[in-house]
Amino acid sequence: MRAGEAGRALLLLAVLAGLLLPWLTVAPNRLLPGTATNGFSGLGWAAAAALAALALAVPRRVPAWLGAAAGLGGVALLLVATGWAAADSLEGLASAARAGLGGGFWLGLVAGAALVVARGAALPGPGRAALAAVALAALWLPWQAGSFESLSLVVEYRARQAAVHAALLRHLMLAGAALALALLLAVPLAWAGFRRPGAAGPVGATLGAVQVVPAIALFAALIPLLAGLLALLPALRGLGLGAIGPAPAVLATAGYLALPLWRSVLGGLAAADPAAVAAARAMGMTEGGITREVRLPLALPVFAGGLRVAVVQAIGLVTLGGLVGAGGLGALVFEGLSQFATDLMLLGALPIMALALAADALIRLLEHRLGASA
Amino acid sequence: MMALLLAAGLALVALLPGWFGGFPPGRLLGLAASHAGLALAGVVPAALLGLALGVLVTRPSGRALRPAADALAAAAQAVPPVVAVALAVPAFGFGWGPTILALLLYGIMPVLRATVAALEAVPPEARLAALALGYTPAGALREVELPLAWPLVLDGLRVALVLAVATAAVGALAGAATLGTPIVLGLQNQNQLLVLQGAAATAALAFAAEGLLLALAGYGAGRGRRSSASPASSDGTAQSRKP
Amino acid sequence: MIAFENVSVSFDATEALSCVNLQVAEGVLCALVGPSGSGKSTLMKLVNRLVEPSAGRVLVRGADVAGQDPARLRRSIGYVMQSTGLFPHRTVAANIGTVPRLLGWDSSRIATRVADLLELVQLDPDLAQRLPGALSGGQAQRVGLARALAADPDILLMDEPFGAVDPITRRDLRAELRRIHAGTGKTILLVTHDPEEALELASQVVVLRDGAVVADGAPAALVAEDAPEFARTLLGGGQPGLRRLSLLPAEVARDACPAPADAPALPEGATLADALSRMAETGRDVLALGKGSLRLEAVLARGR
Repeated sequence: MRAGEAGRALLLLAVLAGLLLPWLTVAPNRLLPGTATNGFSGLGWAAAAALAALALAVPRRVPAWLGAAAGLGGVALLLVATGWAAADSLEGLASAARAGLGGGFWLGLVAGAALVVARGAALPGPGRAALAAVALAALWLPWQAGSFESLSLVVEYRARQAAVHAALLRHLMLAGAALALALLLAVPLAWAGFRRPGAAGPVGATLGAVQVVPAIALFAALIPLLAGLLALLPALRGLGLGAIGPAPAVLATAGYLALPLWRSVLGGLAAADPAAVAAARAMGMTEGGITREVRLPLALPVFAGGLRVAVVQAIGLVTLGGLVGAGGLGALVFEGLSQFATDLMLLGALPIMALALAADALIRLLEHRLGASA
Repeated sequence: MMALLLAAGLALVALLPGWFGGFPPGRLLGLAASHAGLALAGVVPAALLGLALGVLVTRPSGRALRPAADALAAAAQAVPPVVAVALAVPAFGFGWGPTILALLLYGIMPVLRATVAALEAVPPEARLAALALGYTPAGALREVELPLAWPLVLDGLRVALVLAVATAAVGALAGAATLGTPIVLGLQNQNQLLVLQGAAATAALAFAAEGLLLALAGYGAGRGRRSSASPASSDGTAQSRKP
Repeated sequence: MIAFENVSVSFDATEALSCVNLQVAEGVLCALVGPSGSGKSTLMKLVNRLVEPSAGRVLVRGADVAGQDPARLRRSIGYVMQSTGLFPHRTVAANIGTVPRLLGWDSSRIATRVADLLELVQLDPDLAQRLPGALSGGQAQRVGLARALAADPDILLMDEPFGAVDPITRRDLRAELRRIHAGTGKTILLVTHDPEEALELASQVVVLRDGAVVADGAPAALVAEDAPEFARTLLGGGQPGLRRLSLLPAEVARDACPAPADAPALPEGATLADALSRMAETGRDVLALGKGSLRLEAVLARGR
């Protein structure tokens, strides 16, 4: 199977998603199930045009930039046409009626986006940056023009805009706090382990054992444990520590982040070639100088790798904070789950995935830079 | 050994309160059985699939699939298992379905990645020598590549198993009867004893799973007289992620 | 025994070998030499189908290899490589027994054969149960040789077998190979980048450059004055005349008439280079060689 065949498979997936799965469902309100239409009957000519644009992205003969641009155009057209179709389908219905996005839409969107990414990956750096900018513009402009306002997901967002923004901010703060706490724990431990290798074994075993504990168990267990601690030392309450809320979420998340951070700092410090370190020492460098000029430049790319894993994990893990009263995007997911409200769940889940993917891509870029300069 | 001891200690913490008015031990054990069954039912086919895919994308005929597999692994990384479980609820409804889906997804990835990394770490000259001496490609895979890759593959299996236990616990949120159920019940009813019992039991099961897998592997390695020189797992990217 | 007929090999767009014709007779130790990238290793790998020709035919024991099952073909041809390629998860004995096991020999026959081979390559039998990681470079290379010889193949392919060991071990291993070749009469294809090794071990030397054979002949012929310039420079090491003299036995320039009574004597088996050296040491232009004599002019005439 060659790359061109993978493109054909993605195109076929998009076509099947449009033909066989529900694209839009129209329901009398946000909680009731609705009646579904498939992509082609719902979107009409726009579906055909979008598929034609996506088809242009498949053949290897088409230059990468043209293929990526055509694919992007196809995906954007699918999005906008879906928004219009949603508006049409709600015409004359009660204001509580909702036009929800079906599985076919999501599958088609993922297949189309994958096609664009696959073609865009072949572009040089500036080309990829331009593609990303165009993609953002292709989302932003119809958003501003109100093309998506009839979609149930957007209606749900408008109704809860403030709550979603607050949850997003809260999510980032929880993840950031957990990361900071984990760094405070991991970096000194790693340094000690580097200086005294005997200490590294037990630390690694302990941090590794934390990884085995299922996250939901650790998050939950911290509530009674913190409650017990606070009963013994009520003074801690004065510091803002509570058995329910951000404390268990941050502590538990930091517990999981400690291992990748610790391991990458230790691995980074050990990455310097012993011969290079010996040579530096032989040339009369001090230990501090060796660390600064020989070890750190080699350690940074390794550390960035560990940081990337930790950041992506942090964004995912604090989702469970919604269970222990810490808020964040997880709270929206669990609220949606308990109400069986798919749109609400998506309002929590989509930003989590977007944040994780963006953090991964950004730190990967940083890693690449560091790796190239070291 | 350490893992099994921890599992036993945590199991005591989970079970003891049952005789003093907490969650009854019998029901906890029943939930543990269904938890283990669910996790195994998800992780065993997923691990086999991950192993097969890992072998496929490292063969000359499947090498073109490698970027797609990498992209899939990276994308799956961005979706926490709890979100995967939640998103599967509209499609499958409450119950076992969403959990099984998440189990499959999160069982394949660690095994696939570990298998690919392990097979790529096999010294190329060992593979060349195997072919040059007259092994068929399948024979070289079975007798030379897989035995050399095994310690790293095993680490992937361990991660997958631990992750499966954790994902099955999260499944309680979507209505599956697992050890996550008392946790969720306890959180809803502000019953801290119930939360503690469920959490301890879930952790006990995870440590037991890890301990048993490592014990089995140690037994197998002892019989097969394999070199124990397994490269230390590298930068933490192969680490398990928690729901 | 081995014949290449108009063989070309292409990897993607680059041509690794173009229209090679070559014959290697039974029992010959043929060395393939040339700079890196000249295609010598590719040429050798055609024999057991590790590389496939894009044009032409490769005949082994008179039959085109293209029609033969690769696995079965390879089991009938020994293969030694520079990095040894020993299986790190198997003991020395299991490594040596690989091909016999593939051929379905019973275990007692394999055990006997392994013991014989350890003796042949002069390894301590106690090493049999060790893992390759515990061996020295020279020991590992001997195990690699034993593994290649295990099923008693009539053809042996050796890809820079002594490239990664220290000079003293290399000398021992070369002597070992010469002894084994003399004792078994196997057809051996030896890839090497060391001209000295090629000239010392081989009875046929093939020089490759940019995927083509530029010279093919007996070692002494390839450093002679009429040999192709590239081969002469590559093999001559800057002193082609001296190199050629070192390849010729002193007997070829012997004069039947006896030497003067006080002429220094040359031992049996000496080469013309030894004779020249002896003359330089003693300041004499005639040496005694057996019942005859050896004169400086006769020696110099052979250096061209």
